Amino acid sequence: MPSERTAVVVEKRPLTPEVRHVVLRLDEPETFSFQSGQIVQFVLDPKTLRLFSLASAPAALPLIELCVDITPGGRGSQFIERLRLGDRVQFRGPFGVFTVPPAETRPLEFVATGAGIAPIRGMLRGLFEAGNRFERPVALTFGNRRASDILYHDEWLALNAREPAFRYHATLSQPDAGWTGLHGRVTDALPSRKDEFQNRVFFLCGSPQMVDDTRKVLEEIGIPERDIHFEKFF
Amino acid sequence: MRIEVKRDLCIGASSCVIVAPGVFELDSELKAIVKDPNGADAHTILEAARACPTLAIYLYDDDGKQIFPLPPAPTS
Repeated sequence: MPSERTAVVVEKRPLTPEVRHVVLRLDEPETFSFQSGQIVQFVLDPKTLRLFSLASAPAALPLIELCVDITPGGRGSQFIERLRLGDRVQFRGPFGVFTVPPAETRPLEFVATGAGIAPIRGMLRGLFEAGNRFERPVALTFGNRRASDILYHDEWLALNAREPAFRYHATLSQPDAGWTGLHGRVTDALPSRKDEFQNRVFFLCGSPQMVDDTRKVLEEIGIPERDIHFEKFF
Repeated sequence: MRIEVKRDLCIGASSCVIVAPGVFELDSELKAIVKDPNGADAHTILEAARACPTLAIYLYDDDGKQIFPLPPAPTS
């Protein structure tokens, strides 16, 4: 039986009508360590477990952050929606291999849609809080329907302005009037930049359809399968 | 192809069950098990293994060679 940890809800706010940002403070942070991008598993009851990606980096401990789309409406969504400040929750972990390997020094391309940004936010925070020590190019291609759906948009704009190595490519499939960024899905945005992608390592997160479509596009433009890491949000 | 679920790595995420329900199921301890190794084609089984967030599913070819997870990519 994995050891169970506890934490208290210290912040909860809507990022959009469908997505919640939740901050938890660990009761025993000295016993917990993780790599940016990993997941934790909440114990809703002994037979019901739900996984959520950590949207924060280790530097934020004893706080950990979640970014959860409650649209599915299932047990996990209901669990998040019922959380109130001060509630104590039980979880297991960290788990998962969707992380930037410490030995990986090549340029990185992160590709997300919607709440698939959660683990990628953790990884980007981890990379730049550590000073992007390899000074490599790092880019985020983030696809959404409308501008109002873009999660943490201001963070990405600020990171883009502050970090010379970072480039932010926001693309909208249903752009609002006045949108000056990219139009279309992430699969439309990536091929035009294929000349940048030599020796680049990809991290994809979003719906199974988005991940599979993006893998196909990347493979068509010659990215080796072993350089495409992904996590599907089922 | 031989399919092995590393029980110590499995966290019951169910990704494999969603991708290849004919091959995998969760047991009473919420760990994935192989119920029918012939319950899907090889591509689907490989996709199920790839979808596992902890890479708990190992695949071997008929000669016993590990075909998934792939060894780490060389870095430059």
